[in-house]
Amino acid sequence: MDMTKPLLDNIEPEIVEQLTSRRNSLAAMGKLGLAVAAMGSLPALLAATTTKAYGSVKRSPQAVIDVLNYALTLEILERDFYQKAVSANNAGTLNVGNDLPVFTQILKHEAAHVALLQGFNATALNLGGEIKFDKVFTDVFKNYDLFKAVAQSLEDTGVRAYKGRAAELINDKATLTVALQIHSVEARHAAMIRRLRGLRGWIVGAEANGGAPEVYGGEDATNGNFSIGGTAPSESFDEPLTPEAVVATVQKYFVV
Amino acid sequence: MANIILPGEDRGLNRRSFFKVAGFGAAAIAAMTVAGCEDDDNNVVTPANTIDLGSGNTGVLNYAYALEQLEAAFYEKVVATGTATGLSTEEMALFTDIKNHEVIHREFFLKALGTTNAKTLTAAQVNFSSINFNNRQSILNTAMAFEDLGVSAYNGAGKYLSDPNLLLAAGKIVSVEARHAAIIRDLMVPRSNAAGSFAGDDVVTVSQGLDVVREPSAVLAIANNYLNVKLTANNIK
Repeated sequence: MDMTKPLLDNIEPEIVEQLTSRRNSLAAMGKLGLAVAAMGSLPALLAATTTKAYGSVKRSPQAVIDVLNYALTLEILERDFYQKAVSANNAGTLNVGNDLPVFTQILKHEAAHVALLQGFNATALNLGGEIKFDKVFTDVFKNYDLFKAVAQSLEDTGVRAYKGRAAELINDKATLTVALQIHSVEARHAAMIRRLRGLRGWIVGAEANGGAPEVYGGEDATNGNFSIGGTAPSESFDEPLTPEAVVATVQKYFVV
Repeated sequence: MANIILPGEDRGLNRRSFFKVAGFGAAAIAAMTVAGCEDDDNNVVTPANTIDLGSGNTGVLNYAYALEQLEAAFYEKVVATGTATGLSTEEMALFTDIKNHEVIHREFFLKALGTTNAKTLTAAQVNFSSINFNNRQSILNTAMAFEDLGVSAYNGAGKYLSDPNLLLAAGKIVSVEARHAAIIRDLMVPRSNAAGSFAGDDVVTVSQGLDVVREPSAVLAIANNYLNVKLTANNIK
């Protein structure tokens, strides 16, 4: 954590104060073994955090790369998840039945996203360990219902993750547009998986419906008062997640 | 059509503003009433039946507002038509949900803009004569078109926003439109990867996995098919 001290010494005191809570979360991430080298990125993440605290974004190529690295990390996760699922289906250990085209299409997109982001010279973040999709969800590639629940959580996380950092790309119009175009695809995926589970395509309140609850915290935000009440306002808006929250959730469920 | 907000109508909604929007007022009003005074290469005076959506963040908000008004009006009419639509009970329940979302989006942008700066469409300006509300396929096709159009519009307009709070707000909405699009498509081409399915190759590129994106002019060229006025967004850039 000595790396953070000189950086913070160079930031105005007011900003340091605002960053206090961020420092704690970053220290926690350090304990979880995030390689500082990969977070070379750590100064950049702090920089992005600084600008977020002030609501304005620096025109910084590093800030953009940081978002792309984050995006790539999640896309690789998704791609590998669906690759394993399709393989398990082909091996007969997972039975997705007639829904297979849905998952091959999703896999195709995630693989394309990985290639696209790697083409931007993004590199995956070190999440502090190996990815093990069945770490918590032991039968994820054996039980189709469980697989769908986890897939839904993964897609909804992806939507919230992109949404949480799109504003950091505000000065890079081309990259922002690409991020938006990926983000909406993830939303299509999320809606489709919900439908396969017999749910509505949109998130009702903050209900996880058997998905990971951390993924849905704050999703019941209504963004105002409207002429229509009930669950409609919360459904009408999808909410962002901070990178800290996303990474922590991924580590909890998938990293050993 | 009764639910379309008429100009000047105040719905008495809470005007809590949840983000700062700067620079409104005279400029926005001038943009609406003064025609042909922008940098216009061929100095064409804007025809009377044209509404320019303005520029900057306000222009983008009015752009989004226009599209949400159109979508909300469409779904309101579908729901009002009821069983004559030919939609199943489940389908009508989905359409009712979507209608609710679009109405809420419409109200969201009206509040964000304020009644002075909001370019609210009148009932007479909306033209759904090309849609057969007594035909399930016509409704589904139109719904799909509107939702994919909305997704492409938000994806293409994000870069014209200079306020990160507005970008976040737009982001919160576009993913819901994409959910709508996926569901409606799945009603027509279920559990599939074919064109027309939830995320088919007709809307998501094969090589990069990117969703549809359109410039405002391209979006409005389509949207104007459902209007008796011509919306323009030449100053959103």
